[in-house]
Amino acid sequence: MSVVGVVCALFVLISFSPLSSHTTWLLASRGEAILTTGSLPTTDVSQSLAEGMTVRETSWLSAVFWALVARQSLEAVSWATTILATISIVTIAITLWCKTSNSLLTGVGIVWFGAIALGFLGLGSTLLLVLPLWIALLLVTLNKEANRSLFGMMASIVIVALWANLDASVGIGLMLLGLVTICRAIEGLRESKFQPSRLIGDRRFQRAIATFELSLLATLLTPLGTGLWAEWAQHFSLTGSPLMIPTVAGVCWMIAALVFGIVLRKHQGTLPLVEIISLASFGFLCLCWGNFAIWFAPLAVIVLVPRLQSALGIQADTAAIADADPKAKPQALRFAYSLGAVLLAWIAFAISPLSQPLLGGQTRTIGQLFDSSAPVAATRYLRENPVQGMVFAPANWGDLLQSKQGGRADVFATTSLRNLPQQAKYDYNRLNRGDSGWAETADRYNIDAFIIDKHSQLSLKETVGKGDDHWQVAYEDDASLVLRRRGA
Amino acid sequence: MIRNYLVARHGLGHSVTLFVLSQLLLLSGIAAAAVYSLPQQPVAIPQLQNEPRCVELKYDWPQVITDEQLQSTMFKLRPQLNHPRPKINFVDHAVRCWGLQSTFNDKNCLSGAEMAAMLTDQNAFQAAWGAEEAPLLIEGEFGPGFRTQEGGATSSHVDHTLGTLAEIGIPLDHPIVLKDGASPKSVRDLLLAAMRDFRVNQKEYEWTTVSAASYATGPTEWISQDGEKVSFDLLARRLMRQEWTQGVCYGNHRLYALALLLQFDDQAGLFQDKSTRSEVIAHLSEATARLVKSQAAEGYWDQNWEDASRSPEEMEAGGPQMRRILATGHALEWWAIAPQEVLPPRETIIRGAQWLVVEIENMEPASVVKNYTFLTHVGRGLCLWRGKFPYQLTPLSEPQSADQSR
Repeated sequence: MSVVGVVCALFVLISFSPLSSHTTWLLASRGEAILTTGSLPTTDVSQSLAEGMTVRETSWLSAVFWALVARQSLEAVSWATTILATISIVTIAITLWCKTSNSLLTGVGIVWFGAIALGFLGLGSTLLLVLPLWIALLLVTLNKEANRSLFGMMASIVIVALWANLDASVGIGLMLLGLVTICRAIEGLRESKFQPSRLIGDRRFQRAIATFELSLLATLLTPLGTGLWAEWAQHFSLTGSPLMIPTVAGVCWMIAALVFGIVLRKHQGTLPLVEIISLASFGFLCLCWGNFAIWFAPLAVIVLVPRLQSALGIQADTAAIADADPKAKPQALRFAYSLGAVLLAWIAFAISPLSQPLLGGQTRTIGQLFDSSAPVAATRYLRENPVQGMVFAPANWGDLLQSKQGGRADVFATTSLRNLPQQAKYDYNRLNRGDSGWAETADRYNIDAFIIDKHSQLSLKETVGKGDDHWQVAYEDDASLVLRRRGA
Repeated sequence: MIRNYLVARHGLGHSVTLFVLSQLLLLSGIAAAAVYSLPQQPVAIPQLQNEPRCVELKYDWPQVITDEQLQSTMFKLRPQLNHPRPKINFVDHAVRCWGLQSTFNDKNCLSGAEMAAMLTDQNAFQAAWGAEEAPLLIEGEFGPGFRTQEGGATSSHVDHTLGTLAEIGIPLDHPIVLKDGASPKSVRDLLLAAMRDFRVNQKEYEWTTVSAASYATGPTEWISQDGEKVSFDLLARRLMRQEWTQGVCYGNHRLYALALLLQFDDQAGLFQDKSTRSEVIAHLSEATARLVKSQAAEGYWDQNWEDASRSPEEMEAGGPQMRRILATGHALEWWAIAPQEVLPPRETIIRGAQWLVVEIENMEPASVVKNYTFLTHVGRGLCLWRGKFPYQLTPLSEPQSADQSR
């Protein structure tokens, strides 16, 4: 009951959280292009200046998904993100409950997972679609029984194939399968007293390596074919920002490291090598590249919580023990628990905005749907006063401003800035800083409006903010300032 | 026991063989896919033809300018550049106007070949500018190029001189001579360097477009240093992107480049997308409509050619007369190579041309020298309207005045 309560509370919290990730709008634009043309775009459709620059659409299925959702309404995007985030949480909750039968550990695990993974992702990210697949892959590969069966092998391949169509981050899944294969090889060698011929004959090793290889080949089952591999080869980079310890994700990582230490010290018997290696690898990668927290969180929670219970000898809930024995608890009480859980779920649903089509109620405004970092007022301004030429705005605002659901503007840059040619990137930075000659640069790109973030573009605001003979302030609020070319 | 051992051993061997075979198959599949997915280096520069394409002269309208007027006007615009340190900008414009084949009886004038040599041969440049002057032709990151916008001894705009060489018919294998006997180079090297160095969003792009289109063999594309796939469709859209009067010479060079692309598209099918051609025609038609609407009663246009309801912006030097000559001359020049469907009523062109004829006739020689670059566009435009290139009028003889002819 308490686990259901925690999940329901998280569900309500997520459903009311404003959308904080803007990449959804990029995906929706790309998805619209796919749905309209029936083929994958070869240039970045969200930035007209990227014309001529070749890009590969590696998230076509995500793009189509978000385009179809966004076609419904802005509210539908919020609902979809809530549902996707909840799927991950429920999967983790069920897994932890099945493994520990302890409501406290399960609840703590869920909250820990939510804090690190969802906090890092932001609501609306493309990775929300991938996260359930990653959890499923973890469950399949870390489960001894599933790992040994043909079903486990096939499930891994299917998950990887689906993931490859959703996002190029499928390489992470392959990395896990690779680690499993290596661990299996080490274990096999150890068991066979380091006789390679026996290892080759080991069925479990054979299955592990075949799963990895077939999964690798399964990544070719996308409209891009080998294009996905080419994308990896072209954009492989070791640069990234490390995990910041004084953040929620950083603190969660520290807790995980502490728990890992306790487990290693207190655990009775032998820990599976794959658990140790994968946890250590992803934990280390997480430290070097903060974004790995998204992948590390489910792995850590699925592995560490049951191991911690075993290491510390924490007992299962008494209710759970009673549940395991049908005779120990009256049928009526079991029904009451089920009814209570359903009631909790219904209350959570009724409170959340998702109930609006069923139970009625007011649709949320655009201001309620987005967090404070979104250019809500500027979006509204652009919809009411369309700009014919190009709009210069911060790249992280560009995502929403260019979208059909947002400002419908031809923006200079979006968060896909890397797809722009070098000259455009250089000019974006010059304009962003408000360097001298900004007006000539604006002419060159046919920029008809500047949407300035008053908090992050202080020098640009200082330079152009007052307007001149050719530019005038058209709109201003606490967050943004809109400067328009006179006569445009 | 032995039997069991053999069965077990045979089973193991069988399993290992199968496994090894399947590994060979899978790994070769993975390797093949990996090799296939290795990024292919795109063709950086397309196939080019040695002889540049030439614009077709479609019109011969005597009403625009009579033979006598043309002779008289062009005599005034003869390239009197046979003096020390002639501005390269003037030489560049003069040879573009008069062409490679032009010759003059006036010893103050340079022939077309002499002017072209000054642009392509360091020795000829040095003879005019002296050994102490920095060379016009220099070696850059991507190959040879022209020193640009660094004073009188340099080219006035990015790839302007290269565009001139293309427009006067210099083939790609024409040798160029750099300072201190650098390894032999040709116009091809100049063009390749310009194309590699090109960025779609750079400030001046009109003449790179003209050069590339002149030597292109068809609907080709190339990869710029930014990794952009540059096609003539993309260039056309870039040319149409900015506000009407933005760019060099009140935006007229953009219109000229578009009209040239249309001609060369007719000749070689430059555009990959058929809609590009109709977009360009629509764009030029709108420019024409604006020009027709904003033409002054006297026949000229000004800096505000796109919208006469606003005041024209002042030039840095030259005043209203020069602004008007610039705007009017350039408009007549791009119309002269544009398709019939984008032309204004004949009356519009005649009024503009006649205004120019009178203005040039009344112009002092010093004023002609001062504004020579704008005037070469006028001269070339007027000749094109009579269905000829300026060199076809050479060698020019001094027109007789009305009194003398009597």
